[in-house]
Parts: sequence; C-alpha cells; structure tokens
Amino acid sequence: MPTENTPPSDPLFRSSLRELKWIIVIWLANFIWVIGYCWLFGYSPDQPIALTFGIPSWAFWGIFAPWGLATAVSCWFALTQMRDHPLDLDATDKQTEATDA
Amino acid sequence: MPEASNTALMTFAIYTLAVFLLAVLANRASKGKEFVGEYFLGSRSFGVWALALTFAATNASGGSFMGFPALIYTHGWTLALWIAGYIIVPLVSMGLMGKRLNEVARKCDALTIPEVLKGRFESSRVGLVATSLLIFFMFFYLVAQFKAGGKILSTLLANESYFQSAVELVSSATQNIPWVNQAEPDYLVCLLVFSVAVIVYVVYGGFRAVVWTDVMQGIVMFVGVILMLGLALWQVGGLTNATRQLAEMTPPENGIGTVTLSSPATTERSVEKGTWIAQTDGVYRLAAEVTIPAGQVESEPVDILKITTAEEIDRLRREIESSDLRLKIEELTRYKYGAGQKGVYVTNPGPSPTNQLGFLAIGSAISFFIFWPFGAAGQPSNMVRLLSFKDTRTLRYSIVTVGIYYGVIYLALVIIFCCARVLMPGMEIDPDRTMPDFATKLTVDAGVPWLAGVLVAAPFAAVMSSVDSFLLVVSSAVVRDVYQGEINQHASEKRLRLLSHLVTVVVGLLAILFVLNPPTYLQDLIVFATGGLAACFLVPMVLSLYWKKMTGPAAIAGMLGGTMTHLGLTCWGYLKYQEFRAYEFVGLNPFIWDLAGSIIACLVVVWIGPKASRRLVERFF
Repeated sequence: MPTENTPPSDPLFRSSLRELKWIIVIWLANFIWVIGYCWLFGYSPDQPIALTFGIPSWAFWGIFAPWGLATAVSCWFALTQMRDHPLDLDATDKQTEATDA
Repeated sequence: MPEASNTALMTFAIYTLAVFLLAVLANRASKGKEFVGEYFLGSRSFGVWALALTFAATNASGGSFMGFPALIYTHGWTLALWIAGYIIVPLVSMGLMGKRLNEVARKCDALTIPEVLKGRFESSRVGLVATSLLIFFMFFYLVAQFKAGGKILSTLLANESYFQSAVELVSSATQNIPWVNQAEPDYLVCLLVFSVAVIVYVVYGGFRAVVWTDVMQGIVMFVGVILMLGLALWQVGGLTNATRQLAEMTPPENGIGTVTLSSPATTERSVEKGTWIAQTDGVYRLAAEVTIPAGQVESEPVDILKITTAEEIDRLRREIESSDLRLKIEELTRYKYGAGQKGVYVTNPGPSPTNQLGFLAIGSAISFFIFWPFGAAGQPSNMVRLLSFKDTRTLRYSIVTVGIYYGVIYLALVIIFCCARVLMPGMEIDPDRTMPDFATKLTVDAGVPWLAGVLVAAPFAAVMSSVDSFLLVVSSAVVRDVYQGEINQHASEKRLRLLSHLVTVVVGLLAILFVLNPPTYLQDLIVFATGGLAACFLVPMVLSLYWKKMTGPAAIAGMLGGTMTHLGLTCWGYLKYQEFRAYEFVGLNPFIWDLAGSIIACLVVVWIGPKASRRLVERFF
C-alpha cells in the first residue's frame, strides 16, 4: 500500500515524476545560457555590431544556437528518455500488478 | 490593390469551404460514438499530427501573427530575446504534465480540466471553483479573439467591391438597432461572417472538427511563414545586408501637425492616412486621415510620424511624388529610449517611445523566459489537449513535432519583420497592419500578387484555431461541469447533445454581442486573462498530479491564491499607472508573483488543513 514513506506503485507516476525533474533541469540550463549570454553580450548598444551568418552575434549565440540545441535535446529526451505506458485502465492495472510483483 | 484583394477574397472563400468540409467529415467520423466524450474530447483518439498541430495552432493565436510582427517592427532584434522562452515551450507545456494528466483524467473519466480536479479529490466544491474561474477568465480571451478575427477579415477584404456592397446593406439594415448600430459596419460584417463560420463548424463537428481544422490551420501558418521568409530575404538582399541597414537606423519621432495648401481648396480636400510628405525640414507620414474644408488652406491637427534615418529619408525623397501638400509641425516627441542612437534596433533593450529603460530590460527578459513555457503549461485550452491523445508514444512524437514547428515559425518571424523594418518605413503609424501590408508588398513586388491571399490567411488561421478551442472549453465547462456534474447527472444523450449545441451557440452569440463595441483596452484583457488562467490552474494542477499530500481544500486555496494575487496586482497597477495592466513588483512579470501566491496558499492549507485521503492516494498514486 503506498504511503508517503514508501515508493509509489504506479509506474506511470514514477516515470512522469522523473521526467518532470529532468524537464525542469533542461529549462534551467536554457535559462542560464540564454539570459546569461544575452545579458553579458546583448545589452551594449554603443559597441560596433558583430554579425554571425547575418544575425547579430549576441542573438546567434544567445538565442538561435541554444534554440537549435534545445530543440535537439527536446527531441532526444522525448524519443529516448520518456517512457511509454499503456493508458487504458485495464492495461495500467496489469502493469502495476506486474511491477509490484 | 484590387488584384491582391480579389485573391484574398478567393483565398478566404476556399479556406472557409475547406473548414466546413472538415467539419462534415468530423461529423461523419463521430457517428456511433458516445456524444459528450466525442463532442468535447474527440473520444481521446488523436495521433501525432493531430495532437502536435492542434497544440501548436491553438497556442499561436492572432497575437503571434499580428501583435508579434508589430513588436518586431517597432523594437527590432530584441524581440528574439523576448520570445526566447519558446525554446522550451513544447517540452514544458506538453512533457511536464502530459502523461500523468491523461492518466488521471482517464481514471476519473474526466473530459474537462475542472472535472479532473473534481475527480482527483472527489470534491464537487473543487470542480465548481475551477469551473467558475475558468469561465470568468476564458470569456475575456474569447471576446478578444473574436474581435481579432473580425479585424483581420476586414483588413483582408477592405478593397473588395462585393464586400463594400455587403457593408452598405448591413449598415442600412442595422441603423435602427440599439448597440448594434454603434459598431463600424465593415467590422460588423466581418465579425458576423467570422463568428458564424466558427460557431457553425464547432457545433457541427465538435472537438474533432476543431482539431482537424487546427491541423489545416497549422499547415497554412507554416507554409505562409516559410514563403514570406524566402521573399523577404530575397528582396532585402540577404540577411547580412538587412541587419547592417537596421544597425544604421534610428527611431522615428511622433508628433502633431497640420496639413496646409499653398492656396485655398476649391472643394473639400481629403488626405489619406499614410500619405507621405517630403519637405526641407524632413520626411513625414500622416497617422490619420484629414480633411481640408473648401475655401480653407489648413486642416485640423493630426498625428504625424517623422523619419530620422538618413538613408530612409534619401530613399523616400526619391520615391514620394511631389504635391502641393505641406506640413506645419506643432509638436515632435522623441523616443524615451534610443532616440538618435544607431544600433538600437540590433541590440537589447530595444528602442521604446514610452519607457526610459528601453523595451526589454533584463528583468522583463527573465520574466518572459519564465512566463512563456509555464504560462503555456497552465492554459486550460492546452491542458485539455493533453487529455485527448490516444497513447504516450503520440505525446512523445508530438513534442518533437511542436519543437521543430515553433523553432522555425518564431525565429523566421523575427527575421521577416526585421527585413520589413528595412523595406517598408513608417509602419509605426499602424503597427498592427505590418503583417498584411508586408505580405501584400512582398508578393506585389515579386510579381505574384495572388500569393498575398495565402500569406494573409496565416493570421486568420491562427485566430480561428484559437477561437474554436476556447469556445469549446467554455461550452464544456457549462455542460459537463455545471449541468451534467451538478444539476442532472443522468441526463439523456439526446438532451446533452441539444444542450451542448445550444450552449456553444449562446456563448458565441454572447461573445459577438459583447465585442460589437469592444472596449479600447481589449488587448490588455488578453494579457489579464492569459496570466489569470495560468496563475489559477498551473500550481494546483501540478501538485494534484505529483504530490500525494495535496488535498481538495489546498487546490481551492491555490486557485484562489493565484487569482487573488493576479487581481491584486492588476488593481495596484491600475491605481499606479491609470491603465488596465498589472503592477510589476521589483520589475518582474506579475505571473511570477501570481505563482508564488498560489504555491504559498497551497502549502499553508496542506499544512494546517485536513490530511490527504489514503483511499485517494492509493487510487491515483
């Protein structure tokens, strides 16, 4: 019987909670990169403008590059790290019993 | 531009026919299925493309294709940082709760978000509070989107002769009807056409039709943006050229002046909004239409825009045809941040006519990076889509699809409308027209005016895909949560079918009536409603799904805590700014304080209130 002190028995709940934690970590990494880089290099209108592929360099390295990487990480995470579970109730019960056993 | 306008009418006609066709197909596909589950949730049967594109299209409302381009045009590259939170929107808004929400909803047999909360705590009170707050906030959003739909359509059809005839007809038919006769006739026609189209296909096809049309609308948006990107880069001579020209630009000045003639007008002389006037002291554009009465040499004062970028002034002087119009300047106001400063359009915080700190101070950038992903996760219209997928594989592949979709759309929009700043000066007089005007300019200059209809269909599709979703969310709250949940639990399928259709129509008609004469602060209401919905639902829903100690009273406290913080900051903002906008305490977006209020309220009630039911913990964990 699940209580606050014992591991939960629903495998979908367990995997969802694990994925939630990783999603927060991925968001935080993006936050630090984007806000940190743009704050350091994107708030200087008096400096001569540097371009990368026609895009202001602060925007390329602070937004376009992390956007591409974040999309790649999202794809990787969704395709390889998120677990599949049956959603119809009979199958869920069977999977829970199997896991508990 | 009549040719472009005819094309726009054709595009709209084809587009509307396609929408109705999809509604008919959806109606056929729903035959033989339990009505309420099918009408409000498509029998939880949607696959990858349906889930991904309905999610993407519902999120990309009219704001993405009207307001966002206007902001890029006005403030430049800083909008890339403003929108950067969308980097992670698909993963956060779909992955954070998707699987778990779908599972809990199935266990409760829930079709709506209030029903999930009600079932999770087996408490009617939780469901009723959620339903009330959802209807309250959602109605503001619905009203605003109806207005946007009417406005976009009137832009599309402005020069079309059939449309003008319809306007005259409706104008004469409604001139004695109170309230209705206060609406501008062209807006009224477009609002009615738009609203009737949406209400009919939603009523006929239900959630399945909404999702299928969202898929089509999502494709229209994607194709429109890609075509515009190609045309814009080609006509501006490449992105490097555009950015270098943008770096040389300085913000315009706003002012007031009077239009004068060298000799008295023989008949009444009208000067159109947007008319350019070049004279020795500068190049100006009229921000409104003015009239010089017969026998006079001077108009009433009118808002004007003065161009300050040397290259643009030279170009405009060559292009503007000489005329007898002159402008007497009465007042000019420089931007509060960025005036006369080169490079301001390619760096942060971006120029601002009203804010001395610029458009996007670092505190605002931080706030938006939090608001976009978590605000999207907290929208009930997004959450309800997470109830509709058929298996977890669908969710995973949809995250991938939406991630790529958003990456392409939003970054492309930033580039396109930075190019628009270079190619099309003076749009500050009416920034919301930037998208349709730039689409028309690109296609006419490229010799393919017929393409304008396809490009301008994108914002129309965006608004339509949001309106249909919100309409259904509000209807489901009334029918499922209030009537079936609280009044008549054993209502027959026939009665539920009739009531669902009736409520959808009534909600739509109420929205139309309300928006006939929309208040001027309607855009602010959208911000109010979006922030309020996320503040109200995000924290209670996440804690309900993932925290075993969470209780029904704590969920109510969380919803009310977020809502009260939101209302409190809005009142504070109104008292401080005399505008309908929330106060930004220590420079942060009010959404962050709303979330804090909601979390604190939940934790306090969990701590001091009744403990979680062991039976419910066993059932859901």
